[in-house]
Amino acid sequence: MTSTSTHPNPLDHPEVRAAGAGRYALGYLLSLGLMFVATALVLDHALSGVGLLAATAGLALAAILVQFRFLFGLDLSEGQVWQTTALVLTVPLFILMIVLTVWMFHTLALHTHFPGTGM
Amino acid sequence: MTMKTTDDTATGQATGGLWAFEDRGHDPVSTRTLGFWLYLLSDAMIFAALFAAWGVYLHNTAGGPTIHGIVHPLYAFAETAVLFTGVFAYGLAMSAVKRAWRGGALLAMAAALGFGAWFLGMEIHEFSGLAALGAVPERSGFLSAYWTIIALHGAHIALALLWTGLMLVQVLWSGFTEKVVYRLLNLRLFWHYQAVIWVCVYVFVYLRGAMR
Amino acid sequence: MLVHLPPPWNPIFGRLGLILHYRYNNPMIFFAFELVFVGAAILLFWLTCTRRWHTLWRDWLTTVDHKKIGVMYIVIGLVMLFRGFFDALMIRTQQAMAVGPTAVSFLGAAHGYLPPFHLDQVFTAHGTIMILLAVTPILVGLMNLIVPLQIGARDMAYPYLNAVGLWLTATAAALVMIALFIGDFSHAGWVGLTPLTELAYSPGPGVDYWIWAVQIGGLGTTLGAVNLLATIIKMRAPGMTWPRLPIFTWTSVATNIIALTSFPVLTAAVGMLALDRYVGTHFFTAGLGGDLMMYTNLFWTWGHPEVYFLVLPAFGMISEIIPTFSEKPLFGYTTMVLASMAIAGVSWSVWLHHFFTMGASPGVNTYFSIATMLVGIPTGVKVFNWLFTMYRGKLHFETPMLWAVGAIFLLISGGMTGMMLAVPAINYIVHNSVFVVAHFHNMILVIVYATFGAVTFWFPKVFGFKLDGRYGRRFFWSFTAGSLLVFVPMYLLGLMGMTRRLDYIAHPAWYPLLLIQVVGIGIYILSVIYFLGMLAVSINRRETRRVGADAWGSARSLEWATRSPVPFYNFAVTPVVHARDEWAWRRERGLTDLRPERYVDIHLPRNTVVPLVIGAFSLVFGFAMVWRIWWMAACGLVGVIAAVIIRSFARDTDYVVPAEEVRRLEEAAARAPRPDTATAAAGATLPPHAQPSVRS
Repeated sequence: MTSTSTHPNPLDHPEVRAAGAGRYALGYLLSLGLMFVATALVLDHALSGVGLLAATAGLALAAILVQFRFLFGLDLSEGQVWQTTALVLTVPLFILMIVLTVWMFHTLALHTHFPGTGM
Repeated sequence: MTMKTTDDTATGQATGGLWAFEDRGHDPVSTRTLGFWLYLLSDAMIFAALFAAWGVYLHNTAGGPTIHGIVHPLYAFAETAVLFTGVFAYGLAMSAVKRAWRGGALLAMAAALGFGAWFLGMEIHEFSGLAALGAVPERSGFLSAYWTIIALHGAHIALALLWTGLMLVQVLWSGFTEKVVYRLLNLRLFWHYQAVIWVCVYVFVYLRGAMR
Repeated sequence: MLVHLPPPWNPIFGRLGLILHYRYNNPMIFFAFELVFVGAAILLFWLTCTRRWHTLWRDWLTTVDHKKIGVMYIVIGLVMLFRGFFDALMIRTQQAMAVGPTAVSFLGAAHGYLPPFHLDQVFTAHGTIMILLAVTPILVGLMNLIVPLQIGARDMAYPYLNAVGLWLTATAAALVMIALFIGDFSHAGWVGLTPLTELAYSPGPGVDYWIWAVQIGGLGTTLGAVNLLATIIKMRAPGMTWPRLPIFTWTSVATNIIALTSFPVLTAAVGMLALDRYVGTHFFTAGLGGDLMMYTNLFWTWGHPEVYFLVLPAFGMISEIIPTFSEKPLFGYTTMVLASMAIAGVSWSVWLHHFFTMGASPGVNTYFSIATMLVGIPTGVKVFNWLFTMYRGKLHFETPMLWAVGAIFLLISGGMTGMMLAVPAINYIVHNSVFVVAHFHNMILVIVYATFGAVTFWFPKVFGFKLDGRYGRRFFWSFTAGSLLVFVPMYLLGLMGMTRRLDYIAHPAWYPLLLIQVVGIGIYILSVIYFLGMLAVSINRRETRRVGADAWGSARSLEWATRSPVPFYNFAVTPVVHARDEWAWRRERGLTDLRPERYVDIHLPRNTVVPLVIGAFSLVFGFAMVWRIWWMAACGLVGVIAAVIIRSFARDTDYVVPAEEVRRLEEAAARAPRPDTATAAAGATLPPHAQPSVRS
């Protein structure tokens, strides 16, 4: 860094002040709980096929959002807005990359492979 | 589109307004955490690429073990609990840092270290079981992808352990200086990021395997 | 765990025993060997004679100054550009010699003078070097140099990390150069065609060299992207709001978003290939559940965004050069910014157009085809903005402007052929032909033109004197003639059905066009001579070519508001920004005096040797992994980690330049005789502050 700090005592920095045991505990319990529900759904075979996949994916998304909010403390405040912006700009790329890849290879398999041979 | 280059609000300023004499100071701590956050997003892209591949390789078993034969959701749930507890322990360390409580921070970091090592031990146990079954990465494209995703996450945990150990030493060595504090903040991001990635690994790899 | 390899392998030397099997009596390699060693010897001799070792160490090798790091990036890029050009020369001459059954043959080749395995390495090296180790470092170097100046920062956000990125890039370049002499290089194309790159078909160390050069260089680029983004977000001078950000900095934002998100995909793809080769996994093998198209998919998921990673800074450079030499503000600033962001966004939905012929469904091909065509819209917006900037402007055709205008012509022709390739029906016909090769060279030339323009444009800012215009124009016109003569025939040959990467051309009717290409490459050699001549003449006569802060007399953005050459602290006092074109704003108000009323202390980062050490250990690691010398690879890796840890205990990493020292330096610089800014700008007759900036 080329400049002096705006916070003479680093522990006064807003990002240090943002830590909160209660918030972390909430994030910890909620995400563990959501994973438990997902596990229970799968082991009970409560839904079938695509429904189960969608339900667990939804629970995973909920757990991730809980972690972004309560563990990372992401929001639109001045200190966190760039982190949130960067994340919001990047997530569509994750989705594009995974969805487009699976889509193109699914249609490729229909065109070129014998179904079920695992090749 | 109007073609205005100048901003009239500022033209009233005298020549003295050309230079900023007060070194207002870019905030080094939040500059560091922003940069590390950007790096984590970049790192997450590696996982995105692997998950994209995983969506295709899942069926490429080449006559070898299938996903249904090798995953144990309950064991993986126990791994989830251990890892999340480690992540939570590191959060508590930051809560202690906030109160400038060095002993508490060290203790909680040591706990995170312990849970992280426990998690790694469980993964190694799982992998050695797979190897005994012959479900090694060299067996099929599916197993290559399976091992690579889980091992890459494990490698991240190993790095988190190394880094946490280093920060234990640095907190003891120099206390909560600015450099130590932003490293602790970055390490917090790193631990929490492992929880996010693990949610994806757990749901799309382990639970996927338990679905019929 | 590790793949079992046939001997020779032993624990101490790994596979180095293989080099006994290479034949070093090839005059081509011998010539390259001589060139490198004689060049290095002359350089070392010169350094010693002029007693510059200490300067080299203190001012360059251990520096964390973003300007010097930028210059070193560009020097690495230019050296590799030269190497890549040699490869091009060999490809062109080989193809022209190897036509028809009566083709001449030398040096043991059946046709021409390069046997297929050697030619394959040459074109692989050409592609890898030109894209990853020539153009990328030059662009990263220019961003490093200019972005902090444009936003009024003292340095990058992480000066130390900046140096790490540089030395990782240098390591990648060094690995490619070592491959020329110790062992061989990949023969599987710069894209690393699978399953050809798999161990079963490429058992030698060539592909491994390629893998580790790409991995280490890619890591350097990713770290650079983090650094540039954080710098732009966090380090702007007071008043430098987002709507006032200079356009080159905006394109740097867009391009580094691409680098940050796409390079990890390359790391993943090449990492999986490395696992296949080292551990024996089956990601891209031809059997056991491997899927070789997955590699192609992942490679191009990076590869196409990478193309826009290269072209966006070029667009930014053109957008800086044209307003300066039109004496007008950039037309359509906001649309320019939006277009850059749109290109960055759409770049994530176009990659399949590199393999339309894979056999995905028409729906998939249509999606990617439409997305590809959409790129034409923001690009078209940019072209029209440049044209409207020049419209009724007071145009000066200095060398940078020639390059910028040339780039626009190339962009239009390359864009047109790109639109053709975006149509799957056309793409099926010309897939894998030299038409595609001509198209992407055309686009890369856009970048090269913009880069040469930018180097000429910003050279006086960095070094304090201008490059010679006469030689500059000769360089431009000979380079342009060479480009036309090489790539217009290449387009035609592609439409005639010539496929790429041929070592023997069976069709004698193509001979005349191939011969024209050789003439073109000959003119390229002439242009290289003019380029070197430009450097030599300019450096020799630098004392008569000195310039003031505003080297061109009509520059517009903030980087011109400090001395030329830029002092190590960039700005004596941090400037306050009032307008989008801050320097033009100050000029119009007669506020171009660079001397503030008083000075303040400046905090700067100290030099450090750690980045160089990290680069050296990563070179050891890369080399050891190529030859599978596990103990040495472990040493390299442990060395890198240890260097990082030891550095983390360093406390004394910054220093302060006292205000009095800044005053002394500034006053000494002000006393030095400098030609007046207005006379330094050849075309300008009015004093700069008297020139109107908006002519409409």
